[in-house]
Amino acid sequence: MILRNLSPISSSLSRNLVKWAVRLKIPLAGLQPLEKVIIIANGVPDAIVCLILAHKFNGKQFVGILKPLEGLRVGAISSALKIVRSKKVKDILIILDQERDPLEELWRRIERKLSEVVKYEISRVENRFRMYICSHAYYKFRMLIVISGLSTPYSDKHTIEDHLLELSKEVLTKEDVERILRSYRDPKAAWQKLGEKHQAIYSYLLNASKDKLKQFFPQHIKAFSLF
Amino acid sequence: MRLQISNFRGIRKGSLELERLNILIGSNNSGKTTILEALFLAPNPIRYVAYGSGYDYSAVSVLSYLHSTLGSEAYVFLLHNYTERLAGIACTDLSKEVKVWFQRGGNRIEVYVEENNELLYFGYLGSSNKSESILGSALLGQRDSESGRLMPGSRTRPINPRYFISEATGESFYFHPLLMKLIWGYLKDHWVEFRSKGLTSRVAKRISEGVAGDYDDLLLEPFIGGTQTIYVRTKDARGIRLGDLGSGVQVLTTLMLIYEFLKPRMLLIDDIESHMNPMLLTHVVSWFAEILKNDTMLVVSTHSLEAAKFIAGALEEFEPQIVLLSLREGKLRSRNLSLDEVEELEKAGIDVRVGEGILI
Repeated sequence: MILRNLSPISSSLSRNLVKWAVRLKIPLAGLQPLEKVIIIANGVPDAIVCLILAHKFNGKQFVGILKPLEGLRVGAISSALKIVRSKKVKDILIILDQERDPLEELWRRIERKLSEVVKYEISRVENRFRMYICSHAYYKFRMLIVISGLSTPYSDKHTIEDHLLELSKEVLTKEDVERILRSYRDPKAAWQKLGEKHQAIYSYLLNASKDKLKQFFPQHIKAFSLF
Repeated sequence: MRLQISNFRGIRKGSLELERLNILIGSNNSGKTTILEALFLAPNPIRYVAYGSGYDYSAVSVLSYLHSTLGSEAYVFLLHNYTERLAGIACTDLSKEVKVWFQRGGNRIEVYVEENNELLYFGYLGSSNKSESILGSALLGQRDSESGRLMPGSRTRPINPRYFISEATGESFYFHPLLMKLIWGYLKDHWVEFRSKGLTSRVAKRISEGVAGDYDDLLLEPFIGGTQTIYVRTKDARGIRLGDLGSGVQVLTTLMLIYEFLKPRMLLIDDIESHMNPMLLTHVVSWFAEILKNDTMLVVSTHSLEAAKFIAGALEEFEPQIVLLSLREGKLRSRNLSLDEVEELEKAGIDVRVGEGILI
């Protein structure tokens, strides 16, 4: 996939997406028509992970990416509806962090929000990934939702950084990363601490095999393979 | 690089430290364009530059062309308030320094370039546009100890003023949207060289990434009425007139071609955001990253804080500086701001472009 940034250039998503596209030599799309959109419902690292994973999947398909200015996490579902109404988008992938919510509770909230805005049928259920067939007025589309996070023991907060930190253990040493995780007990703070190593870790991800990607980003890879 | 300006255009006095990536912001008449113009002239104002057909445009005549659009004539615009006697531009980079002097002498403006402590007289600019009387070989100059006036001596130096480029600055190229026509003249004149270097196909492919096209080359071919125009060739061999792809694509194509051809040490771009849709600006920024890796110094001006923040944020690894400028009674003042500072000030309710009154 080749991503096309749809967010305003004043947004941190735009700046960071282009910054990392340049650094990692990943092309971004121009004005090509789009039928699929990825919504980043949390922060910038999610977008960078998407940039890399998208680059490794589905060839030359053009996919939009954006982060809503309002309505993060579950609230991003409302943005999805606005996108479906305004464009001929067939597939929407939403990526949000689990944070401190129990998974079942978070899925309940997601589906409650979905039922407020669309009619849906569940087409696929996994632990941190679900796919819905949605309809709203004349529009029919698929909504794929990925909850980022791993069942790691260091913190009760689970985010995209869980995946990046696990991957970091292969780039740095397992002991170093675990020491940072134990001392911060928050995946976002631990990832920030590794700031100077981000380039090396993202580069490692970029060059990783698909098996490796499945190991570290299982729910994301599942979604990308169906997207 | 340190730039010092005295009595040049709107700037009576001022200096600026420039880094590899500089984004000039400020209100209208805050000195942004004057700084770009000074950097364009600094390598040698009367050298031939890549504008127009044939070798008939010097750097200073390009600026004269640009300013004559406002109804002014010839070269007096170089002197502050149109009345000063001597204007100077100095660039210092590490241990190297070049100074350019424009000295009024009756209706003429004499041009001197000073490098390695050697003052060289190159000739004079006349009283109308493109009227220049330039020597075949430079003359050593001197300063009158009493009046301070610069004077040509009689000894020649084996330097052709049309081709001299200062070692302190290297070549610089100035882009202003109003100069497109002149640059196209140069492109058409040198098309064979652009093609033989493989630049036309390289730039066409690059442009494809920025728009929804699939182009493999640029061609110079006849258009209705017998004129020649530039086409982009699609992979299925159709030709689309470059002019039909919009102003932003024309600007980017032109900039890329000229940059790849000249490889100037300084690329100076006025009003970077004009004609640029955010999508195209994204591709401009990717291209900037490539040229910054080639050690090119980039100085861009913009009225768009959105564009300034985007360029600075996306090119963070090149340690960009956002330079807020202000010009009061001819004195140039500046403040270098990081992206974080600009955003902190925004959160405090200050738009830095109009906040120079309290920020500088």
